[in-house]
Amino acid sequence: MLKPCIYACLIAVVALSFTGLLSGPDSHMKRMHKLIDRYYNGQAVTWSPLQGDAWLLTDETGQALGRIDYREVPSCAFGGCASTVGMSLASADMIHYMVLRDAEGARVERVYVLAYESSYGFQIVSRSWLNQFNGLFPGEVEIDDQVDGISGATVSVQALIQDINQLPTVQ
Amino acid sequence: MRNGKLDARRFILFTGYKFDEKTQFLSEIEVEHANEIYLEQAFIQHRISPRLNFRAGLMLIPMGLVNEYHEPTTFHGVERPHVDKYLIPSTWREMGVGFQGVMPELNLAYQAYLINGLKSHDGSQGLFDEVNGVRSGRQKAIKSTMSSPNVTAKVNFVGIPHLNLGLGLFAGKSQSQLFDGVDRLDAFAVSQADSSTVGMTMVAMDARYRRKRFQARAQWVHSLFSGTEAYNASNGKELGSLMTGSYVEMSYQALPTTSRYTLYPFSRLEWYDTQAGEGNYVDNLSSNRFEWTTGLSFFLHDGVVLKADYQMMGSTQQINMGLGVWF
Repeated sequence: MLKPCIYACLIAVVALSFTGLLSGPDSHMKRMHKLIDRYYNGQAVTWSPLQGDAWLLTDETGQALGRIDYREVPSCAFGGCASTVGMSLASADMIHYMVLRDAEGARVERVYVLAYESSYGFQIVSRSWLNQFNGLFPGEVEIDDQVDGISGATVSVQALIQDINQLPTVQ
Repeated sequence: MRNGKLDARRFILFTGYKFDEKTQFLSEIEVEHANEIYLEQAFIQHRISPRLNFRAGLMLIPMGLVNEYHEPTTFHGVERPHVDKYLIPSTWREMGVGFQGVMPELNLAYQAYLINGLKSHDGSQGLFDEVNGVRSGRQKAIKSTMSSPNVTAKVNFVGIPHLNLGLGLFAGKSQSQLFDGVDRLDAFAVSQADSSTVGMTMVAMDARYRRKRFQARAQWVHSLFSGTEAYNASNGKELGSLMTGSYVEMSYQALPTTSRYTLYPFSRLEWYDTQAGEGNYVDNLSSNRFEWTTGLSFFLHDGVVLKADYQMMGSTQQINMGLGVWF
């Protein structure tokens, strides 16, 4: 009973190990397209790359719809998660996420977490929690005032808010 | 009148190493009462895809609120809730293999492992009983015995605003030293070994709620046992077919948000019974307990907490004070 299970696990691990990259937007592109298509109700959207991992979204007539930024932010170290201060990026577990903003690149329309690496603080993937960012402006997001804290996810909450506040502004 | 007790209860060291983007190693070493050293976790994690990790090694059993997150800054009160001590024997860890991951679009995190079980017989005596529950059955990976593998799995769902819901399962036959070197032709020895194990199916549901300054958590643990009649008869124990327990806890952040400190007055009610259900047991009234704990957690920083509480447990009353640090 035990042996077949272990063999099956090991074979699965070896087979799946060869699949895909784990960082950078490329590994999430399919999902990002799916989420954006759903947001615009299947309307044809053209993605034009901007500087950094960002894209300008336009509709068929060339009208700007919005701007996407793909981000990776360190949240917890593997196993522990009390503070990210002074933590080396090499040992950190990352939050991979994207922000959809309006055509001016100002107001947040949606925040999507694409992957959450740590086993601590994953509560931030909650859709209802992420929806609190909708309509806010980067640089002005404050914990407790606009976005609730989450017990057991303090570090991830702060990391995400801080990173959203530092999103590049559009010239 | 009794003397007070001062104890360096737990000291925990985390060490991990990230070999590369995909493969990590984590270990957690705990020093208890200043002189007992335990390995609490030691496993490798291999990232197969962003939402699927393979894990193997010594891992924490994902049952209830405290076992996985047992560091003192994560729970109120100096001592952990007793449901997380006797029903879920925190800190409960065993050797195993399995998978873990977070599915952001489904608002959930999952874990599933094939893992070693609790030990119900150490070769000379039975280890489960009607008062301490399954606590003495923890093997802690100290030359642990395995006679049949167990399974455990947990799903956490955060799709409902302000709520984090958990549903955990642990199932399988307990482990017994009596199977070691047993002669299959010796019917008596085989039946003795068989009756030194019990079947166990444990379900644990938990909920954490936080809205602004108000926080609440609740947990329900229900452990069903089979084969307890034979176990009782051959080991002189008084187990029932069920151990069950719950608690609810509420707390409120009392200081203004402008303060650099946070202060949580809290109160927790616990009721649990380590001898219930059917069976050939003699009732032990001290198995059924109702406990009330109330106190304060004063955080100097997210990672440093001073704790004080008052506990009423049947006829026993006590005051606890503690200091918790996590970094």
